[in-house]
Amino acid sequence: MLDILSNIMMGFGVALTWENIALCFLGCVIGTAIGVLPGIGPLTTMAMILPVTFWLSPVGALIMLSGVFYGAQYGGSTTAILVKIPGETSSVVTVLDGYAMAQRGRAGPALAIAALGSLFAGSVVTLLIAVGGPPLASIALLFQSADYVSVMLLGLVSAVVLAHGSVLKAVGMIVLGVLFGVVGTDVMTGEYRLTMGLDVLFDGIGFVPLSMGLFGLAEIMVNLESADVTSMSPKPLSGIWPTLADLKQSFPAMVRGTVIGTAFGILPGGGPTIAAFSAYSLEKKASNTPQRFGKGAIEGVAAPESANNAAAQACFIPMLSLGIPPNALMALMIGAMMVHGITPGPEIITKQPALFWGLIASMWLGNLMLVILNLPLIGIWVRLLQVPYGYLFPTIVILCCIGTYTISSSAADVVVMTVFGVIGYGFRKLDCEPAPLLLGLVLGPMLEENFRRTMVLSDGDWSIFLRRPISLGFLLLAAALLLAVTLPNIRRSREEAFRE
Amino acid sequence: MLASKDFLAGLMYMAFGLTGLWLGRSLEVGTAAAMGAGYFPRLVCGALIAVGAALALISLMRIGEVPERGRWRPFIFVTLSCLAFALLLRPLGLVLALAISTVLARFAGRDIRPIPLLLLCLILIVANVGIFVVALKIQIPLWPAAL
Repeated sequence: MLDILSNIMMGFGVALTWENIALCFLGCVIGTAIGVLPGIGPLTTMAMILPVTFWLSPVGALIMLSGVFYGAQYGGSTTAILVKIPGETSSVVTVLDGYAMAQRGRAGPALAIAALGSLFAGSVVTLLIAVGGPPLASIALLFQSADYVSVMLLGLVSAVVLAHGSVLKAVGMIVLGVLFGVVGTDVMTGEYRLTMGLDVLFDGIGFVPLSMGLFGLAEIMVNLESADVTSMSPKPLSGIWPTLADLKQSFPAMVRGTVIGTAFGILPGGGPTIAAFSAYSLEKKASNTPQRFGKGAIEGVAAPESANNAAAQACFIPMLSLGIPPNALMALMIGAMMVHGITPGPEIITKQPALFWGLIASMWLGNLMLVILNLPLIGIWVRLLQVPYGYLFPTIVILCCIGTYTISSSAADVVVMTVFGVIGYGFRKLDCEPAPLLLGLVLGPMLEENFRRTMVLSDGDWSIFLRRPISLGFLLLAAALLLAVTLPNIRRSREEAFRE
Repeated sequence: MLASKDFLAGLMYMAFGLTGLWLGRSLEVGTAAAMGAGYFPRLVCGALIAVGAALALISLMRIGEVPERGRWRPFIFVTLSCLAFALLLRPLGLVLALAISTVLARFAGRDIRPIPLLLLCLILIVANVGIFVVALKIQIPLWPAAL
């Protein structure tokens, strides 16, 4: 316990330098802003500012990127409640009761509960990372390459199970991501693979051009096809503070939301969106008065908002302690670490304690800043909604271009990004969710390296994956998950969860 | 049925898998104990083709959704804007490349008015030059090389 305390103190020492406070603040501000703006998500934004973070210290870069990520969870709920537009997919369910509350003139308390629920969830999960991360990492140090292969397979399987829509399509996207990860120089033999002789692909398909194309450009192309994104002005706010009764009613919902959010955050393929959906439906089932839901029940705001923030923080646990990203956003964080020359893995906590604890301390700081940013300053954020999309989308296109260019001063990278924009547009048209692809792209090379090492060690004997108990455990879990989605009644409830 | 989203997605996966196999046709496979550079790619391509085939076959057994008709305008202009940036940056310098790309990007949308567009160009040029050239000191030529 004392150990953790002194580590946390060290973390605050890192997070509370002027530079890192400023970066944390900047990340939170950008996160809130894009959270408020519909049509631009945290993934696109993080990909866009990734090049800028190359000039920062590794800790500073991670602090800022994480700030954008959890800041977006706060901002997304603001517009969901005030104008019925979820700024992020993770705030879609908040619309149901949040907007109903706003129509009854209780927008203030709804916003306050959303922010306080997020703060509660954020603080609890941050503590959990601090307490749970190091032991988990020391377990992970026992892993051999075979175990890594199995845990990554488990991750990919559960990403499929939790993906929206067709299971087969999600499998295809992940495998395609792994295939894109193969492109480039083979680490073991030095041979060029699938590069088509193009210089720009010798180092592999860049993470930034790919994600900016798939998420930034493709999103704009699709958005511009649908009806114009109109700007809206909400009713003015009266009181902000919730009553004591509100707090009493929503506290248990926050706790339940936090638990669900943590579980879905740690689970590979999970993340804020599915956490929020599940928390809402559980809250409705657990309630004595389910008929109030959808008509302005404050628990219907507290539970999903706590859950999405809990999940947003909890997905740092596998990322930091195992070096394995549970979703596309964490894959991007891993990408950022690797650019800074940090190898993700269980050694981070022991070898880079300042990075790990500094990041954790900054999360507390960031959550606190976000409550202050979101409650008293809400009017400023709402005004952002009045920025016409006609200004916004050319800005995003330009930032994607220049951001991609600056990574290695390469115009060819910009062309690669454009190609992925075109491919991404095709994906959207065919309802192929691109997020699993990003996960495959990052996990692919790790998977191959460990797979090859395992096979060398076992002299080509495949049964090694079943003979190591850790590996066997992960494989059994993966098999159970796969079996579960094929069982009809579970499949039905999975579809229900996504439909709601 | 042949134009359903699932069927087309299945074909797309198979196409990517086959392309991968073809591009990597000369890579050495090796054995499981001593894998060559081609072992893993072939495994992945095989899996992708299998998934694509399964998706396409299953889609034939039911009536699926057909993709919504796209509109060419956003697609073409966003693509053109990025390509213009990539190709014009070196010869024309950052300022002109930004201006041309911004105008092209804006044409992906509708309701274009000249004054706001000019304003947008100016803002983007000043902001990007400020962030990337002045603050981050990235070596990008600002003006055409001939000047």
